[in-house]
Amino acid sequence: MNYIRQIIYEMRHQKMMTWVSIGGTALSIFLVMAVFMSDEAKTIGFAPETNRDKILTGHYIELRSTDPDNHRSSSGGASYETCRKLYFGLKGVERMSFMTDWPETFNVGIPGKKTVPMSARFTDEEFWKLYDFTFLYGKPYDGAACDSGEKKVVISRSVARELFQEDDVVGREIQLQHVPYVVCGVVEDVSPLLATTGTDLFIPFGPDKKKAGGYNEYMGNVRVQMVLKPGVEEESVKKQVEARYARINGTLKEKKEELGYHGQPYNAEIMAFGDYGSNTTPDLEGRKRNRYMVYVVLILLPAINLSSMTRSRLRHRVSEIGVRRAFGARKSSIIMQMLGENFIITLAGGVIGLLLSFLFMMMLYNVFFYAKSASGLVSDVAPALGMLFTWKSFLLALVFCFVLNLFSAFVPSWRASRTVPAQAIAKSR
Amino acid sequence: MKRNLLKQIRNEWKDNIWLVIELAVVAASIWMLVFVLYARVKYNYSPRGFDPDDVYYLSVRRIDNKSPEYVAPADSSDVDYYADRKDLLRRLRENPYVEAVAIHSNGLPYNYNFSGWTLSPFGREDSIYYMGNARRVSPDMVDVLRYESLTGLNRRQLKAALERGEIFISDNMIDEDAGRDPVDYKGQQMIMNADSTKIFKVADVIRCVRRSDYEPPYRGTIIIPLDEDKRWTSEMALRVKPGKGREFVESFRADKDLQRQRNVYLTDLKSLADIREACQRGTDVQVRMYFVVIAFLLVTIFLGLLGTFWFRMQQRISEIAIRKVSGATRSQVFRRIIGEGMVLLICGMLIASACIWPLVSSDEFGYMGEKWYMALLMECFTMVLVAAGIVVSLWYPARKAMDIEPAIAIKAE
Repeated sequence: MNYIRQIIYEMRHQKMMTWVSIGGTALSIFLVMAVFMSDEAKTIGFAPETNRDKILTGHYIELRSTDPDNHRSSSGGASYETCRKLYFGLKGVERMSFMTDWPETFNVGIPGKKTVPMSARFTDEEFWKLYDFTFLYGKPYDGAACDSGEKKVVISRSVARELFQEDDVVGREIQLQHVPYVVCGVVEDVSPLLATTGTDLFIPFGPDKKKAGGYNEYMGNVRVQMVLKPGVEEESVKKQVEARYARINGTLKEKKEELGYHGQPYNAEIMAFGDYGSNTTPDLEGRKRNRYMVYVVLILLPAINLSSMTRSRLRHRVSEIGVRRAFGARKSSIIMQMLGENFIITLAGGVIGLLLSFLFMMMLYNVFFYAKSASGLVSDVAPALGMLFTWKSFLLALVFCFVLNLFSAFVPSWRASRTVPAQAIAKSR
Repeated sequence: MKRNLLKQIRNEWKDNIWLVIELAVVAASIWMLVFVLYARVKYNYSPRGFDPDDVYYLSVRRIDNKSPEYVAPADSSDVDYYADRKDLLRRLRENPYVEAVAIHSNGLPYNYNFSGWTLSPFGREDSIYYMGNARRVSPDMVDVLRYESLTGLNRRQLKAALERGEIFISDNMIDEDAGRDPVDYKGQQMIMNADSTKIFKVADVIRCVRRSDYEPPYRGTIIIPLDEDKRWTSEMALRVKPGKGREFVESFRADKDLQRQRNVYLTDLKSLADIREACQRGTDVQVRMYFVVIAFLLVTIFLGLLGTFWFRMQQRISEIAIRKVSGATRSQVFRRIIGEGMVLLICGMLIASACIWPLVSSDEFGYMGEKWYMALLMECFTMVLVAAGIVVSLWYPARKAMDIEPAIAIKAE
């Protein structure tokens, strides 16, 4: 209780210091939490990508020449056949889905009315088991529809409203690129922040689409996503994939070509932060190091600033510390008291900072996110609270406050605790 | 005066050492952040090698034979397809809002495909070769993207060269670093992909068409002509007259003839600006975040400096009063306070330099692909920034301290 009284007294006595300390702490916690939350929102599991943090993705291919006189290389999306050869039937995989890698824009309309460009992804039936979409009406297409390339389509609520001005449009016909399709399901809109599922339309990944190629037989526009069985390590799957690359490269030896293995399949963290291309290997460790360095800078800088202020503040209390020491107070109890007092100020600033970071992320999300779907049909969607607020972020804010407090107050408290009572009292006179 | 200032700083070394360390950490952090940001955005402000404004993308597709709209072709070969596509190209060229139309394969920037082809000088035995991202385009692409010749050729000359079946190469960092000038290949016959049956003449050297605005031109660009009458491709690009994008999009959507000829139809109309936005959104967000973080960090640092100097000034009220009593003017006192701040900053910068230079010049950082003097320039910029922060942070507490009447200030002491 004495702590609180003393803190309130100090705050009243040193208004400028109080505002600067709390403001500085609030700003630093705001900043580090905003950066942390924006990073977390890129990998956190959130419906319908509830499994996002457990999903591995295989996509991209690089075909390069091994002939020393020919340095040709082609890279880009992978074909269906390549994906199948590399990823199908891997040990330890619980579920696997093939789909087109990047969404395509389709002209969508109903006969006799204007067409609207929308983003579409071709998926197999497993896609609907990998992700937990909310079906408002109807149901997903099944394996038979995919095998036969049946003209069925699952659309989002926004698409239903755009085309029909109502939600329940199951069984109705729409035209995709001049071909009639029947709506078999309507799903709830997905946040554009979820890159794989935030698409307007989903179409059965039929045989024709699977045959579509690219620059060569290995290239196309297909990705595979998989969830591992419980207890299976990512590394074991990667090793199997690497072995398959080696097997294919064995057959390419004669042609003096090889496929470049770039550490696939990738987890959600690599997908979000790997900063890789189709012909480069993601450098997650380097990226992680950079991210942690950013966190350290964001905490260390304000901590050093606040430390100067704490040191100056404690100099005002040198006589008080001297008297306490004269009455037998231990150095450790002085340090603990100073740290405790400072922690309460830091915590007050931290709470303000955390609230500010939530407000900022909810209102000015466009700064940290690209909140627009590929077609633009769903845009300016703030991240859901669940994507930002997790117990992890709350605990981390608390840890950041604690670290900030320790960094900013420990050295000044330690120095203050070494005050010689006689000198301290003499100085104050 | 100056000697006295240094003496005073030395006498108060216990307090000053903390401030110097604080300034060193602040300066080192700002320096690194500014340098990283510069390296990230630098190429966004470099010449692109093409003009992205008023350019649109179209996809060329065939109607599925399962569609009720499918028209049974007179000829089952691709002849119908090429004839129909040519009709669509003609119609687009006749559209009043369109300036130029071309077909292409990997011809537009803002996609991360890399079709790496090599060119070796014909008749030379050395191992030197040119490598670039192969972009196959019909001659009108010269007008669509407005390639920039590095040897002064105009667009008419560039187009004529593609019509003759000649190719272009571009400048790039690999050749530049190796001390080679791609202009030396101009006019030479080059073997493509070590296949001696494919020999092309390099007509000109253009500025590299990078894959994104942020990407440096590591590898060059090879522009290869594409025959509109014979080559299958699903991509088309067009340039509309300046500022006529909206009118073109409306006329395209309203005109069915412009969209379809029998089983060939055009779809996926989107502006290059939209493609760019989609392609670069990750980097755009990252850069925006950098700016926001640096801005807020500067505010936090400024608050910290304000707090630190506030206390410092409060402790020196009596000293300022004595100076004033001794005849010092307000500006003299202020100059001394600022001078002290600057001396401490220089000390901090020296420590920051000792820590940062070995780091940025290490093999891992390699000046982040920049020249060494850019690191120095960033250091100077950082110093100016922190100095400005110190002046602003000192100004208010110093003024408050100077406002106190000397008699009152000394009495309090």
